[in-house]
Amino acid sequence: MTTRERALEAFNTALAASEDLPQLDELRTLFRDARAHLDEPMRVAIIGHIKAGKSTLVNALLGEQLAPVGPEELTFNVNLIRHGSPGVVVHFRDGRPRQFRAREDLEGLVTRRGDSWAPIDHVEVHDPHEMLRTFELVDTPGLKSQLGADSLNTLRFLGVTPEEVESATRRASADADAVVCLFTRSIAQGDQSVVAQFQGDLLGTATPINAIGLLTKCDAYWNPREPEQDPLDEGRRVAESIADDPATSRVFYAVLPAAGQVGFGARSLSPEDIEALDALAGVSPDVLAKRLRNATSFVDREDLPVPSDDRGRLVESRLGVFGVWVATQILRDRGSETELRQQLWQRSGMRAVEELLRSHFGRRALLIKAQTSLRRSLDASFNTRERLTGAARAGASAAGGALERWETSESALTELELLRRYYRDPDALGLRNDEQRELLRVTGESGSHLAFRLGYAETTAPRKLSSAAREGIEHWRARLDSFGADDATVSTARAMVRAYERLLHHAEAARNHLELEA
Amino acid sequence: MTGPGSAKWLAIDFGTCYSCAVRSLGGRFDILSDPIEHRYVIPSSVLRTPDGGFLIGHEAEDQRLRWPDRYQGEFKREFGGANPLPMGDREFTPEALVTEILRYFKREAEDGGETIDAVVLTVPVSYGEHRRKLMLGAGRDAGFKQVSLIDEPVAAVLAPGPDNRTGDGLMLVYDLGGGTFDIALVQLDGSTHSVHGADGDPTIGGLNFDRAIERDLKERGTADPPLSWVSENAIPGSADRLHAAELQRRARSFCRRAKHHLSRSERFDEELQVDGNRLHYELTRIELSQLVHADLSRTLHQCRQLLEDAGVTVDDLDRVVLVGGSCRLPFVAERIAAELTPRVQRLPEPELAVCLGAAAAYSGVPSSDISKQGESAPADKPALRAPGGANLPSWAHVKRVTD
Repeated sequence: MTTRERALEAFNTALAASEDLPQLDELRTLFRDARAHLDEPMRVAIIGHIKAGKSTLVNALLGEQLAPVGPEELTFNVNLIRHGSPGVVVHFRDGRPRQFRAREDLEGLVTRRGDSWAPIDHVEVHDPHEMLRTFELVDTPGLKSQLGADSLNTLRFLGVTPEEVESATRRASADADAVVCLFTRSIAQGDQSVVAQFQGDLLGTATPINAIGLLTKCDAYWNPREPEQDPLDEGRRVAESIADDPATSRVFYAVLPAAGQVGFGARSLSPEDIEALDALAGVSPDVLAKRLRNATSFVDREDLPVPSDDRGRLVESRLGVFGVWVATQILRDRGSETELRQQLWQRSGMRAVEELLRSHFGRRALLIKAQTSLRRSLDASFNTRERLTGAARAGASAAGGALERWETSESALTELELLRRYYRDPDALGLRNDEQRELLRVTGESGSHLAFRLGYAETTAPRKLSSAAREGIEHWRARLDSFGADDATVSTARAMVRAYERLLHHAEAARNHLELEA
Repeated sequence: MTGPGSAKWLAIDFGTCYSCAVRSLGGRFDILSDPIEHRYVIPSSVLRTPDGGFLIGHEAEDQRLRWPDRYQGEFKREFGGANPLPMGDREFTPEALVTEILRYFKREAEDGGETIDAVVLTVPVSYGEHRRKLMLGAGRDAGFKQVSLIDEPVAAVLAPGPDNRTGDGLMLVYDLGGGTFDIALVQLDGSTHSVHGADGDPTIGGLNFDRAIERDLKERGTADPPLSWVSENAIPGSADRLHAAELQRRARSFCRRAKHHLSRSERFDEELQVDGNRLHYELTRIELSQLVHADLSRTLHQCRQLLEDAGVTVDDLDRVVLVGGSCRLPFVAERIAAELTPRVQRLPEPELAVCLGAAAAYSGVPSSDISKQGESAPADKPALRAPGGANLPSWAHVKRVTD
């Protein structure tokens, strides 16, 4: 049986145990949702300060203007962006039926302008983008303390309290399986660690397994006086200094630099945009760099080839000044349209971000979802059980027992825990480099096949695998028992012994199987 | 007749690193002691000998270096899990090994020719139905006809205090054992109890303290001629592996003795003679408290967090009950008193408290209230509170069978 099948079985057993007990209806709904969630996309919350570029990031990933952006159009609603035919569903807080709207209505709804003053709980945006089959993106508004004076004015105008914005953000991130946390330079340079600035609890469930950090708006590091200097290099340096803070590395797997605006441009350039960029590529680099020192002068000056409106669109809603610079450079070198898009995507840092999302979150999606669902269901069963007596209590108890049984016996969850500890701070475990690689290998990071985990090729004889597992047990037991061992090393060594014992069990099973066949 | 009515039963506290048992025979209570080491707790360790028998506790530890791949310890951590644990050429489930520990206590308790069919087992409060059922099954497999369970922190608050009294109120159970740290908020109210929250850290325990002393000894201990083996990071894989391991074992038990010594005295100052080398080591209680300062800070942080999560302030606490062998170190209570609340209850033998509390609860409960085999734990039932009475085990009444 696979992890997914064992998880399904656990939820099915829990549902069966709580059947025909009206007091457990709520619990059953939760189990059903949890079971369904296993086959749903992973829910990734995008959190960060107001104007940190959350919506720009979402739009860049999807290559479409799905989340409203711009200096005024702050997103004060939670937007859930999921797979489906294009459309918008508005969920209200006061129990009135949800409304289905056309996508064109989105902007007004999400920014609460126009006629929509009803208490909106969240807005679902449906889009057929392929990536949304794996991930659902939750665009959150932000925290109260992170609202600046102008945001507060906007909120007042909209008739929304900062507390409402904050609680919506909290609910959305508590529901998520994984978190992408956005910082800007000002946060990175603040006195407090970036994690402290997120008030801890918002990142409460974040761990290096399910959280990454992004330093956004790195194109702001571009200096037109030295146009050849790549601002992402400076971004990378700042991102690394953030990641070096132990408080940060305990929460995030990695912190990457990105220029979301450039990435969005890479995916959304129209034929007219490219034509305009082509014309601009004909301007001498010195003149162009000079004009790009200031977006207003770039738009207003009369000495540039394309119409002012087109230039305005390019810097304001497509690429930004750095993006325009990079695009014209690529086109000057006679890059094709495809090359232009690819290189912009690469230079925006978004390619690395997309790859990290797919590799780090994507490959463990099921397990991360399963663990989110399991935690929630176990807590609910326990709390329900405590409130009840008689048959309902017994039902809740049996349901919780089925989930507990899966939790304690699922080795993939145990391995996830070991990896979590590793990624939190690999150097704190007191392991040699080869032992660190061994840990990643044994936990299936380099392939889940039994032989790979033991450091051998797939075709290796089970007998050899058995003895490799026994050697692993012996090595890590010695580490576990060594005189004056470090505490973190001991915990890791204990987990490694157990992991090798599991592998030994499977190697022996394979051996017995082959002997029977022979 | 079985159960408390028969007055012939066992209470067993199966812990991650150590276990112990209290026996009730005809109204008399005694704590079982290990026949070899004469201690009241045994390591929760099992070793399967080549002839298929099992060595338990100290005996398993004694033979561990000889047959490392036939040994299993700390398997409570795996309880409920599906992966079998290898011992020699065979595999055993964690519950099968727990059964062996329980069987050992039954055998020891029946040594006088009595048959004991009833047992109460302590379990972590975090266990759900799955692990509770497995624990009931382990009790039955060990040969007990009637098996009951009690939550560890509930047993802890029912343990007779130094004055042999327990009192109502809201209590924080601070359980610092050999390998794990557990806390729980328990409300005791007349004849009912409820657990308002529990937490813990499975990586903090007395073994961490031992290792802190070992590291300190490596750094500060002086030997003449110098001992190179002490600073080895791992046991050498050469032919004299057994010898090196044995030296290491002696140094380890020397460090443990230093710790035990410092629970009673302010200063440890001794020499360890090994192979003509003389290893000299001094450690004061204050120094030890500094070595384990960070670990204790983490436990205190968890206590405050638990109170906060439960919506309770320190002033709402009637007392903090200290159980687990590591609470013998006086500075544990001192730090809790200084940093949490001065209302700290220390017990003379904290490592036995959970077991004695379980026995107190069991003997105080009418037999009709004890759950039968296969039913849910007695912790589900409100009437577990042991009423004060002469029939309960108390520190004065419990006879030590070793002497």
